[in-house]
Amino acid sequence: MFRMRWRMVEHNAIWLLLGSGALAAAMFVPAFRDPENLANVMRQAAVLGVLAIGQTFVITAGMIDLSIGQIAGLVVVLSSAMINGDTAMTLPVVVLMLCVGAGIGLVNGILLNTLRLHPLILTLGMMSVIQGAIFTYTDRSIGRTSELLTTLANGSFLGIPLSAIAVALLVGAGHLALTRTRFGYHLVAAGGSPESARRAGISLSRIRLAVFVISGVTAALAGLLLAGRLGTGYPLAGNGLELDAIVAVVLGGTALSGGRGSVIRSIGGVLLLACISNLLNLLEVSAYLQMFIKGLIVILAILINQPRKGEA
Amino acid sequence: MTITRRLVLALAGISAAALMTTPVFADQAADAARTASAAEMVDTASFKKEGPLKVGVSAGYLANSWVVFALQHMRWEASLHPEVQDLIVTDASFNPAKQVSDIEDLLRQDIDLLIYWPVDDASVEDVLKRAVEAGVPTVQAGGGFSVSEGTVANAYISQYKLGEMVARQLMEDIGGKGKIVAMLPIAGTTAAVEQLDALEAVLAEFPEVELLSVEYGDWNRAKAKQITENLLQRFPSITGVYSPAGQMSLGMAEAFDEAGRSAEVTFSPGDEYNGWLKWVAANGQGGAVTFPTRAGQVALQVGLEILKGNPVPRGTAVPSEYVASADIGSLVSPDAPDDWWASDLPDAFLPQQ
Repeated sequence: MFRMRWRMVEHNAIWLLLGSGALAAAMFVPAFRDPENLANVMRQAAVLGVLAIGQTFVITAGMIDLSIGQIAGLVVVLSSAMINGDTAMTLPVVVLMLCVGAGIGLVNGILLNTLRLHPLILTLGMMSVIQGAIFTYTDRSIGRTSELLTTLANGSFLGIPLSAIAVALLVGAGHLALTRTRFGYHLVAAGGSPESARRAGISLSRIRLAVFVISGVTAALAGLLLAGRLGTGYPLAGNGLELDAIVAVVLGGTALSGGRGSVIRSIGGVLLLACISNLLNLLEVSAYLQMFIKGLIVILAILINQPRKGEA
Repeated sequence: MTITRRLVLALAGISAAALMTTPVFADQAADAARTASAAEMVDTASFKKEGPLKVGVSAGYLANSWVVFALQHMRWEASLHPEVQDLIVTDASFNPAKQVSDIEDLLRQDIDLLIYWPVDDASVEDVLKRAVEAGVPTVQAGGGFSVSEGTVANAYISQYKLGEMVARQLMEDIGGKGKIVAMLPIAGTTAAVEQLDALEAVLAEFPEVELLSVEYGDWNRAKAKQITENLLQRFPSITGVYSPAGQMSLGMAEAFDEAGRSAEVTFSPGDEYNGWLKWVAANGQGGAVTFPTRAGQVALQVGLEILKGNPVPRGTAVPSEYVASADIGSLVSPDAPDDWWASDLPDAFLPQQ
């Protein structure tokens, strides 16, 4: 009975943490509960939210994708350079950028299946390749993004940020794909026990290919939102995003060992990180102390997320 | 096989489309035009406010001793004005997206003035515009200069001018011929971009000088040293080093020294980083072109004038100065650590050693 209750608490830990933290912040920091500030938090969380959706699929399948930050960075640079302030170019460039993301994800998946490298090493290499490509193309900010992408990234509808609405739609689609489709069941099975999944007739190579394409596409979407936030193609825009996304996913309770994951709870992790960042800024906590506090939270989350005795 | 071929064709098509969009870079003429606009007076009547005042500072990064000194200069200036009740500092840690969020958070705290130094000028342009539209004047401090709706005024040290002064002094010291290497800060940052533009413009006047390699040491002494060790392996002869940042010059000098090749090379002036100043004093070469940390103080002075509603120039220059190696004694602090800057800060505001 106690174990069942503990599991329930563990399962909803991110919401308990987010809810109690937000409630305390709203009580003691008046600026935090301001509706415009909360809209700010959602707007700031959108890029990471989109990245975390893709990373949840990858980690649940028992892998990891370190190239997503640089894919987003590449999309920021290319889309800004190609649109260069011309709104009419938005749609074709958005389609092209999604193809770029999907293409890089496909290459990751093919190389993983062919070379049998550890995904950490492979995507670390891909991260470096993309970063090199970005700097070969430009070593400085270029182009201007379109008004449309800027509005999507910074605008609101009835006080709700448009980017948050877009993320909510993606979360809904991601959640359904992971929990209500055959693909989702296969993915969880492959992540939990690859050998058993293979014996049950699940194609591990197809799963790998699919999750890296999903990850690439979400990274491209995040890059388009990021371009809207920045307004220009900054070559270092994607640096470090991959680690933030992994932290958010782990905070959401997705097991780094694979086989267990939730897109919705990953968004809880993203919102928690965004709230902490916003709150520390509002409390005028020094930047160095902010790093320290965030680091402690990450360590705590990983400790909570460790498999216990009796768990696979 | 078919999938692979299609994939290669698709990626080739995407690459071709991307490469057709060629980046446009700033040049010497753009810098001259930009500097000329510094003299324009800006009407600030709409920003007039009574105290107490809350000043927001959005730092693109704080993990750099120059920035720490510039911030201390700002705190010193704030202490001289009782109407400045609060100075709130955020650190974007070199992340432009975080800087956009930081500025949004500062605006939510009802600041009266925003001072910033950007990770990247263009990336914060939109959020700065929103700040100005909300009635919060913005002042850029440090090495950048922006003429945009989002920046009311600049307290600036021209990275281009600094790079040009450093390059011209190096050309003079090597006699206008030889093979040089360049060490720049983080690739993509305004500092790296403008210092490289300045070097290339000066080199166009010296056809007998060959630029062997351009490297990025990320304002990091250890990284600059490691890169230089590789450069020494690659090039049997290096006549000169272009390195406007003193902490990287110091790492490079160590690499030359350890390779036993110090005698062959002439160093350009670096900034007033104390470790570099000590090296200049000991070796009698290099000198300094200053990158004054009081730019932070000047930024707050300009900001307070704006809040009084007084017209201010678009740009208030904090000029770099050349100090020859023979005169370096006026800048160097032999007892202070290497990671220290020559400054006018009173003892109470000096960072802890």
